[in-house]
Amino acid sequence: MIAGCAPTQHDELKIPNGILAMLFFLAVEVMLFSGLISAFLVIKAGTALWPPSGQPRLPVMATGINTVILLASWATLWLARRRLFQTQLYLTWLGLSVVGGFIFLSLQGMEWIQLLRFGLTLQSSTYGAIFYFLIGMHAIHVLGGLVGLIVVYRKARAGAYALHPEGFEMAFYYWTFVVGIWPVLYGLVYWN
Amino acid sequence: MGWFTGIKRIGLAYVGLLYGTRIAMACSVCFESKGDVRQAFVATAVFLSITPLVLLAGILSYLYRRYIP
Repeated sequence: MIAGCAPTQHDELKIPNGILAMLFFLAVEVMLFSGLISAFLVIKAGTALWPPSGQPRLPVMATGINTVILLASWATLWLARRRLFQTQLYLTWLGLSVVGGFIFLSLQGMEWIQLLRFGLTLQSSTYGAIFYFLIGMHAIHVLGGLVGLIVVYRKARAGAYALHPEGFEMAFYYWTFVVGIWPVLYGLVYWN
Repeated sequence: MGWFTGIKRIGLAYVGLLYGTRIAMACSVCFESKGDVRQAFVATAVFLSITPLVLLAGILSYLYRRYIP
C-alpha cells in the first residue's frame, strides 16, 4: 500500500510472501520424496527376498514408538498455533514440540548406530543404501525443522509473532510436512 | 599423414564410437523384465506424473480458500 492512501480490497487479499514460498518449497520437497519412494519401490520389486538374507531386520516396534513421539510433537505445535493469540501457554506447547523433535532425532541416531553395528551399511547391499538414503534424507529434514522450531521458539519468547505470525505459520507448514511424510516412509520401509 | 586431417579424423572417430557402443542398461526395466518390476515402474511413473498436478491444484485451492473471501 502506498503511504497516505486508504487500504483497498486488493491490499487485503495479499498472500504473505513467506507463506507462498514455503508452500511451493514443500511442493518441491514432496516431489523429492516421491522420487525416492518410487526408486525404493522399483528396487524392492526387483528383489526376490526383501529384506535380503544376511541383512539385519529393522526395529519396527521401537520406531513405531518414535513415530508416536513425532506425531505428538506435531500435535503440540498445532495446539501452540491455536493458542497463538490467546495465552502465553503456546510457548509451552511450542517447547514440547522442540523436545519431541529432539527425542525423535536422538532415537533415530541410536537406531542407526545399532544397525551399523549389525552390519547394515551403505555398501552392504542395495537394501542398506536405499534405507540410509531415504530415512537419512528425512532425518536431515527433521534436523532442519528442529533448527527452525528453535528459532521460532526464541522469537516467540521475544513476542515477535504477536502482530506478524507468518514465521510461525511457515514453521508449522514445514513441520506438518516432515511429520506427515514420516508414517508413509515408516509403513513402506519398516513394514515389509 | 597429410591426408588424415579434419573431416577424416572425425569420421574415423565416429566409426570407432559406432563399433564401441554397448547396451547401457541404466534403467531397471531394460534388463529386468519381471512382472513385479514392470508393474512397479508403471505405477511409480503414473504416481510421479499425477503428483505435481495434484500439488499445484492443492496449493491453489488452499490459497483461494484461505485468502480470498
